Amino acid sequence: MNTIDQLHAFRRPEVKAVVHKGEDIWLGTSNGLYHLHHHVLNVCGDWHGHRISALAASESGLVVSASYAKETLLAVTDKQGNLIQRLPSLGQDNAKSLLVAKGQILAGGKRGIYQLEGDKWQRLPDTQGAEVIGLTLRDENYLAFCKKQGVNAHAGLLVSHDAGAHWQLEIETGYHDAIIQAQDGRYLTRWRGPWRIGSSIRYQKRPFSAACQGDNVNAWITGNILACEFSDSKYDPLELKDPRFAEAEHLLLLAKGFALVAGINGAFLVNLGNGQVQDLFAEHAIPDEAARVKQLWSLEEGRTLATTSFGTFFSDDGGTHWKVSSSEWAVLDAEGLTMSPEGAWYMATQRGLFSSWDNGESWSQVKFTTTPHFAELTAIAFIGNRLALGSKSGLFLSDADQPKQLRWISCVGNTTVKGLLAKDNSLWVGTEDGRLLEVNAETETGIMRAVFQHPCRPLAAAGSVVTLLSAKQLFRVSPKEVQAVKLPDTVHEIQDAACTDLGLVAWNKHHGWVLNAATDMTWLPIKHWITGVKSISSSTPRLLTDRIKIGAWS
Amino acid sequence: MYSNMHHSLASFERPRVNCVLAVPAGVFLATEIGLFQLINGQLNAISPWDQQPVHLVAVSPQGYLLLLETASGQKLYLCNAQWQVEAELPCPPGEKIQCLHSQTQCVLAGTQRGIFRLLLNTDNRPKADSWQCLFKDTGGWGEVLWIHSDHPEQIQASIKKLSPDAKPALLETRDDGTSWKVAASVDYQDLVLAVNDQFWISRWKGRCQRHFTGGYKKHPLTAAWLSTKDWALLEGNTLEYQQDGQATLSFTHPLLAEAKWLYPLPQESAFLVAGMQGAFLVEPAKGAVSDLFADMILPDGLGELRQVFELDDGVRLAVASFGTFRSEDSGITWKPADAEWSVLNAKHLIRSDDGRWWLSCRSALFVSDDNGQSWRCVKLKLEQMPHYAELCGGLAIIDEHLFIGSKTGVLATHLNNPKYLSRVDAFGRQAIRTLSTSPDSRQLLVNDEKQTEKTS
Repeated sequence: MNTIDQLHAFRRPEVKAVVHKGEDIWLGTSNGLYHLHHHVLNVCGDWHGHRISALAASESGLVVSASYAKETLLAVTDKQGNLIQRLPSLGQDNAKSLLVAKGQILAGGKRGIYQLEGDKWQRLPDTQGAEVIGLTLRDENYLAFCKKQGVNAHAGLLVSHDAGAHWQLEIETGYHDAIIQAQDGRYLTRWRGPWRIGSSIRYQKRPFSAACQGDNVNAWITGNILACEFSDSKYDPLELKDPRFAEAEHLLLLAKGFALVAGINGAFLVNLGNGQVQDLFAEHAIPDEAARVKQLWSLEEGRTLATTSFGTFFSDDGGTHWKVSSSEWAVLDAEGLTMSPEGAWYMATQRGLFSSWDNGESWSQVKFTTTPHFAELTAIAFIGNRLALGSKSGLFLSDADQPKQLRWISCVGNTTVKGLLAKDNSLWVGTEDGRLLEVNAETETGIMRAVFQHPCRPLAAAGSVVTLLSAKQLFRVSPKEVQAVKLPDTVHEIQDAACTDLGLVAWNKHHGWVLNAATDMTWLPIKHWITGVKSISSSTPRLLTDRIKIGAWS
Repeated sequence: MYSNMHHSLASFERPRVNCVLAVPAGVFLATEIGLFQLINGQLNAISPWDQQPVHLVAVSPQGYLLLLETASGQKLYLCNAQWQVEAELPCPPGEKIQCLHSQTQCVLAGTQRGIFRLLLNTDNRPKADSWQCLFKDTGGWGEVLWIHSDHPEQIQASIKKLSPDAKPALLETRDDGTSWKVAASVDYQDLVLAVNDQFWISRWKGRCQRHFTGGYKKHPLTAAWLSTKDWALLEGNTLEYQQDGQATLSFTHPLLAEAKWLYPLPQESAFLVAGMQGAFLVEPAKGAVSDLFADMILPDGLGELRQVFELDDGVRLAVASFGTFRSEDSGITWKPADAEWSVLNAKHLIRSDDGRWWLSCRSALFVSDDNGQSWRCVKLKLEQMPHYAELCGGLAIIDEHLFIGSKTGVLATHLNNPKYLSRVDAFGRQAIRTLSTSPDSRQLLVNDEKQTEKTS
């Protein structure tokens, strides 16, 4: 068997935090701490193998939140990144953001904002339940950028005018509509773009992901475009377009016309005057664990597509050799892939829809907006010649042959669609609230066929019988009844399942099985299975991944 | 660029830049007031060409070629590496040289009718007084935009119009001019601006892979640059640039519009943009466009004042090769108009009943709703191809419709939604020279002939 290329040369660490203080720039990544000085990136301190989740500038150097093996660590370092003092752990929570201000250390976690008092972290009032991904100082006030907060778990901005003693909600946006920048009553959000309270909301076709304010210049990243607006110019902003910019969450404007763009696919130094892009991690060895192979997909003619945290690749020889897909966005966070009636591949990524007319060699964005806004895409299917998009706001269906014109389907409602399956004339929809619906694309009406206590995802259909996954169990739903599918002997639950050309494949942490539906409904163990499989390709060549390495199964 | 004070129109004049030559030895600009070299963001005059109307410059085997052009004709010189004259060369008789290129043993000239060659002997003197004609268009067209040659026997030339159907073409020869291949015959007016092995850049299609066609641009390109490592183009008032494998840069500024010469200076993260409006150093990372002639003492009478239009309340609009200006005091003092394109190559102006002014320029339609203080480009979407080539045939308004004469027929749009243009079928695709309305304002008069009345 040929060796599978593990894409070592392409792997880049995820940059989770950036701190800029004077001439120093530190990057907190999935492979430790780095320091950028005069356009050269160096390893900083001894954080090798640590996944850094948050950084803040402090008097001595930095405050760092990191995890290593299964342990979390909060620490104060010097400017060279060397550990000076360990801080108490946050207990049940993890620090996603940090702030050192007014002599205090604050940590934003998944369930609140904490302040270090002595040797304990105290959760601050009014912050319970907030998932805080950014903490900054604006004038003398604290700002907490929340991914989720409040009863609806919408993105929001909490403000404290009294050094954290009390917090108020300044603005709340929509589900998944992260707030990126807040200055002088003007906000920049992921999906509204630049917005003021009271002005109408017009959802953008490309999500905003990062922003930065410099001397006389305001810059931001939207889709794959880095834009710079000069305050003494009333003309259109300078735009630089590159696939590697897409989804970058960190942007810094540097001296002499340079910018730092960093995020899930590494860090890049951009010359704003001529478009040159320097890949800062290019010469750095990165362990495979610092980057993720998220999903594997089977395309046509034996081609496999890999969507990863560091780019999008295709292989025609079962993974022995990979080529880079030419894509408008280098990183495609794919949730679903399906073929259109004309033979093009359509990919739903979390924040966009892409199509390929050359069997995955190149991908371009299909621009659309929906009402209500889709928040995040979760599933995709073609039902006849209509496009069906599942999202965290429900189901959208397009007009026939018009993938850009989409309508919200009220019978599914405002819920997360967990899966879509189009078979014959039926569109099967599994939702977060446990419903399995059969939707008629022409009439846009749906019939509820089953309800489960937990979210359900349809996997396969034969006639009017649908096999689905819910709460780690498999079920078969027919017009008359819902039946649990017997799992392999001694197996009580499975992690996941997928429909392949061999039949239904299910797996748990250590093993995988194929359901021999044709004969006797028994499960056959799959050879060469690996621990912790997260994604498999659906036909030959059969590849699988645990998010770190790629293997083959048969 | 300009202060807010009012000035005489002459104070805004800038010299026309006729040609830019970028070679390892330096970047040189041929202008109506002499030859300049761009060094560290400044223009330095090169003697002995000071104040002389330099029309073209090119590299020659041991230095440079330089062409002067005055009202009385052209003079061609062979210069050494310091631009000092070594010899005067004859011009092809009866021809007007449009472009030059030299090879080891000869000089190639593209004229308004074809391609000519002058052989040089070993000490760079012309072998004979006469130029040899390598190519001439049989139909009397054949204006050559540029000539290029990498190898002695291979020559490429971009032709503005070629027989039989007056379309632009790229000509190539590999046998020293004995035979020519029409490597591309593109659409009407879609001139080939630059070419290399893999790509070409044409005026209306932009940058395409050779032998493939693409869609049309919104505005015709005016300038392009193509090398093995990078490409650049100017579309309307936007500069686009990309180095191989790097980010695509896009920068917009009014002073860029209608410039003919574009040269990237990647080491300095800057671009030289030049043309009839002067010369500018563009630094996208600073958002800055600097006027390279700003601090120079300039003689009078530079550039060209094309037309002065009368707006409401005695206000005048002057359209010049060096910009667009507005006067509220009958032309004594002027202030630059606030227009998305500084140079508006405007031909016709018309006023609609709601007080808006419509200006048709060669490559775009502009509108002002404040009596000419500001001008906005209407982003036209033409329903069917071919593109309009030039909007130079006149303007007319009947009811709520605006009619524009172009080189491919009469275009119509609604004043409330001027973006969407369609062609008026009745007039076909003929070139429109004049457009007006009949006295009762019910009929369109095209090319001074009465035509059928407009149908809505």
